[in-house]
Amino acid sequence: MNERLVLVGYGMTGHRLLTALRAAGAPHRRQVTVLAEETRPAYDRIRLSECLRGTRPETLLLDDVTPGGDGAGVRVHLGDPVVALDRAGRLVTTASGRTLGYDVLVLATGSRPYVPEVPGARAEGCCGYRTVEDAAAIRARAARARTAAVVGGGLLGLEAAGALRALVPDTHVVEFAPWLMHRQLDEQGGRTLRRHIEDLGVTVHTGTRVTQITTDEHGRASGLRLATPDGDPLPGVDADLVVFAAGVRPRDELARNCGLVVDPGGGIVVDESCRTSDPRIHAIGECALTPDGRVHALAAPGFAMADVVADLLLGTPSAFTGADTSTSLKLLDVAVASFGDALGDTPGAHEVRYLDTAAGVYRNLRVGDDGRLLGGVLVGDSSGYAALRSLAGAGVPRASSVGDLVVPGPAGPAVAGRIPDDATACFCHNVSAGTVRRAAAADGRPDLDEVRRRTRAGTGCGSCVPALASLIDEQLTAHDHG
Amino acid sequence: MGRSVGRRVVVVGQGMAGARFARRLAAWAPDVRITVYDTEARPGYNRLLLTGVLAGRHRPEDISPPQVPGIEVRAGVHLVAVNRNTRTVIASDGTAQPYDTLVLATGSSPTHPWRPGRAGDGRPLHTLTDCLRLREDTRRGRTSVVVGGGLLGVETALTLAARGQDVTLVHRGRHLIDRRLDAAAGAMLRAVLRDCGITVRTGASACAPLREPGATGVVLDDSSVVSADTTVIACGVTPRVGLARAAGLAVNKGLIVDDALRSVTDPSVHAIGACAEHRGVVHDTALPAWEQADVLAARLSGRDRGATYRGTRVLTRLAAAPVDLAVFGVSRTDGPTTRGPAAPARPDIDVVCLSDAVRRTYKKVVTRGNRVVGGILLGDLSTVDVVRRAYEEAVPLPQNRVHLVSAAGAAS
Ligand SMILES: Cc1cc2nc3c(=O)[nH]c(=O)nc-3n(C[C@H](O)[C@H](O)[C@H](O)COP(=O)(O)OP(=O)(O)OC[C@H]3O[C@@H](n4cnc5c(N)ncnc54)[C@H](O)[C@@H]3O)c2cc1C
Ligand SMILES: Cc1cc2nc3c(=O)[nH]c(=O)nc-3n(C[C@H](O)[C@H](O)[C@H](O)COP(=O)(O)OP(=O)(O)OC[C@H]3O[C@@H](n4cnc5c(N)ncnc54)[C@H](O)[C@@H]3O)c2cc1C
Repeated sequence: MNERLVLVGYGMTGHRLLTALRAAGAPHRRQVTVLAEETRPAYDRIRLSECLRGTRPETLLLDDVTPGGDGAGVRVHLGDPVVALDRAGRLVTTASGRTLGYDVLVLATGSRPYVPEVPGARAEGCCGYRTVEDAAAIRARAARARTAAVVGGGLLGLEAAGALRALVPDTHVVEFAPWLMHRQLDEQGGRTLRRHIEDLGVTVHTGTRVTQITTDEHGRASGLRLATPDGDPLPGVDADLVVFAAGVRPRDELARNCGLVVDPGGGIVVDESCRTSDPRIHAIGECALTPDGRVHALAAPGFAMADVVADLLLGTPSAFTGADTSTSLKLLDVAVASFGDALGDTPGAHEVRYLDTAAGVYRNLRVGDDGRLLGGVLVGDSSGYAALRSLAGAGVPRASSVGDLVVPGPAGPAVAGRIPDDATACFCHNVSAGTVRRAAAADGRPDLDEVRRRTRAGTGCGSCVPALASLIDEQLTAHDHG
Repeated sequence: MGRSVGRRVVVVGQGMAGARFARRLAAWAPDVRITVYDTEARPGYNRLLLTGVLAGRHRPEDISPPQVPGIEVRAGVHLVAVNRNTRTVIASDGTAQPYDTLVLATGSSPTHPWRPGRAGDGRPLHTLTDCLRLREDTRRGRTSVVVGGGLLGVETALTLAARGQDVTLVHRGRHLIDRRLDAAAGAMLRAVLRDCGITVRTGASACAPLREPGATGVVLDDSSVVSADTTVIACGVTPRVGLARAAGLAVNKGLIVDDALRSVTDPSVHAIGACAEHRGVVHDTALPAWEQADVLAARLSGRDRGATYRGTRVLTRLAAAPVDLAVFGVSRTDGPTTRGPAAPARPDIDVVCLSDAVRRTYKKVVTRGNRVVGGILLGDLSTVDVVRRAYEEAVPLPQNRVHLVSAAGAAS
């Protein structure tokens, strides 16, 4: 009998798992069933903010990886979430009452927005920011709102604020930490970013805690009560629309209810094969807590986990050994990037910094004691980001030129040196620079689209495209000279 | 010529300002009788090269410029009084000398944190005599402590370390050269000193010499002790204005002069160099002293009677291997200024800054509008000419400011 694989959750990671299996022709030998809570097939959640600007959700849909025509049995049930899991009987039950047996179960349930437990947080006009439906609700509300407040000054909050400012006359961001994007940026980076955000017309409140959502006589959100982190009251702000972007919580409730080991702080505990405490059950993406003790709330680590599970199912086991945590801010016309050991946590790390307050540019690269580029923070000008991120991942000694790399400008080979073959070029799909070079060399006249098609590099978040272009350029020049 | 100046000019002090002035005046107005008094009983010398003598780069006799004919130098004779009514000065040898014009160029004297009592209580590095004694001391001993982490203290510490001394630098401020550097530059400089084997203690005041049998050094305010064979005092200087004050001339920190470098009290008395206070500022570096000397010589010789001094936009350099530092204008943008408590954050001020802990370089240029108003270049002066021109000549800046701090950035 064919192995029965049941996938719970059809988000970005789940989609990635199916893509990897399909690439290996694997669905043929299995019976794959996808049980999805959302009513749409998997879409590119990273681009969700485009929906706030009015883009139609269909344009966000990811490639359909479930063609039925050739009999490859991937069956997808949309809008039918799993509500119970019976490990002894190896059965899952869905909201519609469907019951399915499995040999292998993969949980890819993602996470939900964290909503602070303050009075009024569930009032009408308060929204999370996770799904196409959330985006639609925010947009509908924004059309009538005069004031909006985003709770959370991280990546998501700023993206939301950036979209809202075009819709709502008066937009605020409230952040508890002393500076914006506190987990990705150092203080100077946060301050530089703040000036950009304020220049866009968004009012920023840092070091500020939301203590209450006030409501009008109809029970609709009308404003925020604010306080310092210590609880001293601060002047509040009006808000007809409140968006929570204050972090996420793993959706581990199914696992918790059936006795799988779940971290008290949230997240289904998995080993480096992404196996839970039950060897037949895997967890991948934002619902999982990996052996480094972390829940990864970014796409690239989720993709890496999906690949690990695919490899295991295909009989070529690999391991999840951490993942790229680079982030870059989209949508605001403010370049912000944070990659590698961005804050210099490595013992003995040195700082190489560039600041131009008039231009609003701040770039900080961290260098190890041995001269390797470890990571960095780029605000206002992220030129060279893709190359820098590859170099940081490759752990190449670069001490001699980091001082030149930190200065804005293209990090072409003249400044950055040759990116080693084993350095990662595309982090979403884990494609090495060497693979890109080979793909480019294989073509008579290599071009970006061809390389993308062959390697999948550059088809994730797209931030590596400049690096791909320069790798391809290298091959072109080699051709011209050879 | 000569009509614009009295025939007898008396100059007090043949330091950086006085010597330059006398030479210029002698060249431009040969008929004027110039008498120069100086406390030190040796030919004039270039004070800037003293650390070079300490380092062994220069011999003492090499730092004195040749004598110029037409100048009467009375070395080893200092002035004890000025009688403005009779326009006469009284010298330490009891002689009186009438003048038509008096030029005070008495410079500054080192500030001592305590009253030195005996040998081993510490000595400043201010005169050639100090320098030669210090050189002797460090030949005999192996360890030194430098009290004061300003420009001179840092330069001296580096010089002594290069001579093989085991050096501790004690500085009261929170970071090195805190009057001119911001905290980040101070920290970078500290790292360089550490690389040179110098122990740096900031936020620590030396409050007394260590006076125990067989031990010398200093006692700090937290009662800890730094023992050292040699103690060097580099706690700053104060303008030497005793003569001027006693003569009833207006003195604030320095002798107050106008743009003609004339005492605001008595137009026949002038002051130049580190004893003069011009527009509220006492300049204690060489370049302003020279500029003032040139302006005054031009006026008094009649070469340019309308010459005025309007202040100097000066780049202060500290070059003591391996440190190369230039500081100028508004250099600290991060906190308290020398003027007092925390300066308000200035929204009109911008900075472009490149700091590299690997190469140990720190380059910051401060701008207002599109003018350079100050900066710090530490460890890499490859852009100093560009910056200096923009600062000294107040040249408007192009949009892209990278080239102010990165020669590489300018190239690409
Ligand atoms: C606005 C926004 C912008 C972002 N930008 C970036 C970015 O720039 N870069 C980046 O790396 N990451 C970004 N992210 C994060 C990225 O989208 C997530 O890391 C990624 O989607 C995680 O994938 P996942 O499969 O673990 O979870 P999800 O994509 O959330 O998928 C989980 C799916 O499981 C479903 N589900 C949950 N419970 C059940 C159940 N019991 N039964 C059935 N289905 C269930 C959910 O409905 C959901 O569809 C962004 C996220 C948002 C919201
Ligand atoms: C070791 C050292 C290194 C330095 N390095 C630098 C440097 O690299 N760059 C820089 O810009 N600056 C440097 N300075 C500071 C610079 O030397 C002074 O700013 C400059 O000397 C001031 O010139 P001046 O003529 O006003 O005073 P001085 O050069 O101090 O000359 C004053 C003279 O007046 C004499 N005098 C005082 N009172 C009387 C009196 N009553 N009768 C007769 N004579 C009297 C003194 O003996 C002295 O010779 C350094 C200083 C020192 C001590």
